[in-house]
Amino acid sequence: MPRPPAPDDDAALRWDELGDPSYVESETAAAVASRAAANAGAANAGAVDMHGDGDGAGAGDSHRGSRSSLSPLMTPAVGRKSLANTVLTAFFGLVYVAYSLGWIIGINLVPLNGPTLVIEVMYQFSEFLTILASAMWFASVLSLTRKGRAVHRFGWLALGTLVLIPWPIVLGVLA
Amino acid sequence: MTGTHVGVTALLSMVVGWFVFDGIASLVSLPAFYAELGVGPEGVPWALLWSGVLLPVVFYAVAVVVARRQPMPRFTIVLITALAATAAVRLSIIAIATGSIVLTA
Repeated sequence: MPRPPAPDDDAALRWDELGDPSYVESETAAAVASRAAANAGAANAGAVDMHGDGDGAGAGDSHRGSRSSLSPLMTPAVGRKSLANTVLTAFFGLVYVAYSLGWIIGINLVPLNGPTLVIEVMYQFSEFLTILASAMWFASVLSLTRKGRAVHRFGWLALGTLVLIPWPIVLGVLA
Repeated sequence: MTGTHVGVTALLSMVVGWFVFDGIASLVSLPAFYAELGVGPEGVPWALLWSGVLLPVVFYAVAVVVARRQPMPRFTIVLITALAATAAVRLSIIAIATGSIVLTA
């Protein structure tokens, strides 16, 4: 009676069984696999990503979190997308700088004097916050969407350009 | 949200309280001032005055909900951003409201 093949104790630690019907090859998985082969230190992270792709759940946070380590292996389409995101972020950055300047100039167009010292101090504090608002909105959105989807980042940045319109200077120019 | 998150939320909500107080003060005093100038209630920018009262709370609540799972430094920055945006919108409201005065008398 032939002996069954010895069980492979390490089988569960590998995702390179091309004969396995559940194995799905994707571009990202291939990139991860080649990188993992070249760099033993990155093998674990790559295997986690490949497992995610095989399950059809490759858009998870852990997958996105390791994207930066894949940059040398990105496909041209991914590279173009990244460049477009950078350009669009820079464009929004310019808009927010313009808003900041608009508010610095526009604050003088709104004559506000507090009737008491406490209220006057709060008015000044409020004007200080106003000058910071555009820069803080931009920094907050970038900070919170660093690993998120681009649509979230640009959605919040677009919302900020509507909320933070420097109306004092806009009205001043129109008048 | 941790206890520290709740503490920072409570601390910064005092600034929101001031914005709301200022909005209510405008809501009360501006119609009276307009009345002195002979402008009737129809000339008072009620929507702007009410938004001055409600927007600080809305902005702050949205910020707390959006950033509730963030670590402490980011959570604080988002809340301060909401306060800064509130301050900017408040000045916009004042600019628009004072530009909308119609002297009929």
